[in-house]
Amino acid sequence: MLAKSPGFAAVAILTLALGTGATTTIFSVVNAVLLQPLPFPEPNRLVSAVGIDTRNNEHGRALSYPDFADLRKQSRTLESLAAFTDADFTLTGAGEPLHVAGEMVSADLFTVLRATPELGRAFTSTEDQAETRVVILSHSLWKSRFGADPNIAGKPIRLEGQMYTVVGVMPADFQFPLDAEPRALWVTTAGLMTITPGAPSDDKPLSEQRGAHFLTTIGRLQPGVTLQQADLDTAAIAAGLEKQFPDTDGHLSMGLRPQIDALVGDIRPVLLMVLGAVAFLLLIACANTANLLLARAATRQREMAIRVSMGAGRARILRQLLTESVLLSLAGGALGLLIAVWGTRLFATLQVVQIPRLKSATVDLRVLGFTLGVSLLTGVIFGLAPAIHALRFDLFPSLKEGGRNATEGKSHSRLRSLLVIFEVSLSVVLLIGASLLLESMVHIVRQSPGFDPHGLLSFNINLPDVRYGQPEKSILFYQQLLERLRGIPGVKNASAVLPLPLSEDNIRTTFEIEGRPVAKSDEPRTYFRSIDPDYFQTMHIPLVAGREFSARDARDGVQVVIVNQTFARKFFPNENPIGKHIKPGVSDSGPDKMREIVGVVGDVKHRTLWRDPDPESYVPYDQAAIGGLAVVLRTDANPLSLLPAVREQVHAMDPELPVYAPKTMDDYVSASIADRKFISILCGVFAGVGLLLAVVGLFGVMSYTVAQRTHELGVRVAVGAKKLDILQLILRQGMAMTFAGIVIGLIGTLGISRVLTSQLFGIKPTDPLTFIGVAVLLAGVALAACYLPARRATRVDPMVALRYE
Amino acid sequence: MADANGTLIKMEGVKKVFYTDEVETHALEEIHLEIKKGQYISIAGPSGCGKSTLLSILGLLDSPSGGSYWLNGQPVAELSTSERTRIRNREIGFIFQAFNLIGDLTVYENVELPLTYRGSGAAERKQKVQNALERVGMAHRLRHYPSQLSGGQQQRVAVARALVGDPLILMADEPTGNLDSKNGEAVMELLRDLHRNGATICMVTHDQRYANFADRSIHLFDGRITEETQEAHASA
Repeated sequence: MLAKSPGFAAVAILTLALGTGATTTIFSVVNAVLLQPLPFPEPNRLVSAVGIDTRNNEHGRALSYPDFADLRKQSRTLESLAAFTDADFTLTGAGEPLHVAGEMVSADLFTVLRATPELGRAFTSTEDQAETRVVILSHSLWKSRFGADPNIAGKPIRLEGQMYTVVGVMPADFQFPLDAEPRALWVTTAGLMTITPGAPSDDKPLSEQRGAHFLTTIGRLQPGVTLQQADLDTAAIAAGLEKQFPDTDGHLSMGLRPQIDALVGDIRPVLLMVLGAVAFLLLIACANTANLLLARAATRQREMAIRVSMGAGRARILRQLLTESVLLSLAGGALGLLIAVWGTRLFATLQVVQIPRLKSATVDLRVLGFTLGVSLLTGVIFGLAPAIHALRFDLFPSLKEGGRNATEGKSHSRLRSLLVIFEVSLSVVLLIGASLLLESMVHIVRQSPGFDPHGLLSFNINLPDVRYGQPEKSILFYQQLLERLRGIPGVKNASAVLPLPLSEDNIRTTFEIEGRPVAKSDEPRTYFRSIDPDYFQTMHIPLVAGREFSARDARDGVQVVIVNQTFARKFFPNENPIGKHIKPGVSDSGPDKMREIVGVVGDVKHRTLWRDPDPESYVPYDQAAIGGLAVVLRTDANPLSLLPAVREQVHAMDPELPVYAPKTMDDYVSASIADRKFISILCGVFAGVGLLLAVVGLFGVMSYTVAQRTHELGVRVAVGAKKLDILQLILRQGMAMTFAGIVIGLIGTLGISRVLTSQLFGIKPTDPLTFIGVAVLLAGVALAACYLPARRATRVDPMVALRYE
Repeated sequence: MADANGTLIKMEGVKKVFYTDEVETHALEEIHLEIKKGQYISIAGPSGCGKSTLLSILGLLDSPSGGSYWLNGQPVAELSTSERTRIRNREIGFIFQAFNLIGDLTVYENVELPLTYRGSGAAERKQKVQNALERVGMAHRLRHYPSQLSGGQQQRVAVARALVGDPLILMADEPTGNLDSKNGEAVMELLRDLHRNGATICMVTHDQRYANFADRSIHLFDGRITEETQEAHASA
């Protein structure tokens, strides 16, 4: 029967394909990101140990090495525990110097993961010890740099100017950490056991600094132990450490969370929100199809009556109708699956979006099952009501009157109206949600990061400790490099900073305010940046009070610090902070020093554009050479056009230093909002399609209504209804459904607005302008959708009133 | 108002041609007809003779292909759609074979419809609807829906709707066609009563028994008036 109504079948299948396709695409993303287990054996036993600041219940803090080591040693509920942190390396000695992203891991990481190298071996427990230099290569580095040498194990390679022995090569599909860019190699935490070459001998290695929180962890629960038991055990160990080390571990607890949560915990609510949005879209599509089926059922009552008169049972006819609706939904599902395959591929190749495991999104068996289930369910649920309605007829009049209006009663039109109201209300929820997200996006984009990102190029250089470990050497290197860079034609200014704003790297430290003694564990915290004196001018960060750094703030001069406005407001309210002294824990050698605040600068959104600025303090690199700086250059030209000249200058100073991560600051700003932008636009697209479907549904129902009411309209015209009367009559009917849908949608949105709260910026989830705007938009579009059928209605010939048959 | 002779309707040489797929169908040919105020005229004839086509032109539901038509002294053959609508609303009352009541409206609302489209005030509407329904003996069913009424009752309501605007003429298209003989008789009696009280009625019927209720009968065959008779009882 469907083949005999190709137009009807095509519209229904396309509508369902849109809904199913969008839903399946998002489900395939949810499947890949949230539902797939971690790619390691017994993934449910994998957990992450995190620090908890008990003052503000802030979860997810990194651990210090001593705390990690104590937890690993004391835990009775963890079978094993490993720690890791990212580490950049320069690989030399085998072709051009190459910057590689690596991971420094405790030697037992591969034991925890139960991952085995494809070549060689994993680290042994003794290879965490000081002065041990061993490395495991990724499959891709092994192939690209070492020509897939099958005898690579045991051979030395040069990293950071030091010789490391390759002990293994991981398989091609191995990736760790899962939420970071693929790592080229893994070394052990042996490097944490020694002090930086050239540092004063009284410095402690990082493995002994309990206040330095920088390690992420992954552990495996003992067999039979629940997460809750292990969490309690971990908290008890943390409590013991807090007592034992009140200065560093005061207000610090520890807890466990499933590793999968550590990986995707932040993105879960966002993806579930998108899945909810797309489910709304599917419901709209289904309601549309149900309406089509209802309209068709009304036109087929004579056919049904003939079938019944021929002896067909109503159950048999119900089965036939349901079969037809399920066939429709399966065809829609199949087409939707094609859309999903395309959509999923598109998502997986999006470079700007940083959602963990997104790239592995694919249409697998689970997704296929989901699509099949959704298709069957929609076919049955939305086919059932029209099918039951189709069977509610009186046999004799249906046969006698040719089916015209035989049983076209109020319940038919009521159900159709209810479906349209349902569609409109879902559309309102979708539109308001998407509008709020998009408006938030506009607010975020309009946020100033606190510096002028246009015309800024940034890049990194990794200075190997072995040659630049002494602060004086790295200070001199950057001074000379910046001088050279300033000489490049087109460069207006050059400076350097650690860490770069919006780069996701941050350093936070505690500090003491002179004259306000507090317990060590109660010391306030500030974000910290080590900068070249020209940093503020290069970045166009305004000086609010005091002065910027200059050449006089030398290594052996007065120790100084510049703070941002948030810092000044928070710690020196109603006071002039200039001339005050603080002691942040930022020394590159020896004990921390009391520093004089010499300036206050404008706030910079270092972490994200939508978070309020944090208290921030800047120290001259000359006085805190704690690592490699990111260089920033300002130019009027295309920033990336400077790169060849930059590489030339760096190469001239040290041919073994690769320039890496060259990006404009505009790129950093864009990347920092890419995920939110993507989600907002995605929801916007769904809302747009939802609106389109709802309006098409309304148009369809109104067209059908006009067709069904032709006789009645003819009677009205015959007794004197003018064109305007008929126009108003039809518009009133369509707009009544629309307004009912809008009101229900607005109330529904109010009910679920809290879901959105965490995703909004600069706008309330109940923003009245958005609510009014969406209502007006929908009313306007609905009016347009009703107008065409209404106009057609005005052309009804009153002669139809005389036609009886 | 009728002209000085009391002529309400005058047709001269009216014809109607339908064109379908290059085929010309002459539904009406050379119709000359005059209806005076207060007359009760029936148009009879076999199926397909053009009765309903003539009624639709008389009732301004359709326009003739040729000839002249004056309604109440005004030439109406060439009027615009909106003018015809206005005249239909104010000067013609329709009674249809299938009653043509609107199922979603109550009896009161159905009868009120012509007045609503005319733009009458609520109080006037209420009074006129009440009067019309009383005239047809349906005032006690104001709030009922058509589906709650018998066929005869529905046609009474339809008659009330035709009457409510005080039209110059009632056009009835097979008003008993959907009724059993008892209800058919009752409706015909109602129309006769209305005529006795001054209503001008033009009724299409194929049933000679009901044609006899009129005081003048026109017989159509193949689109032409073939016979016209005056009923003796009509003047009684």
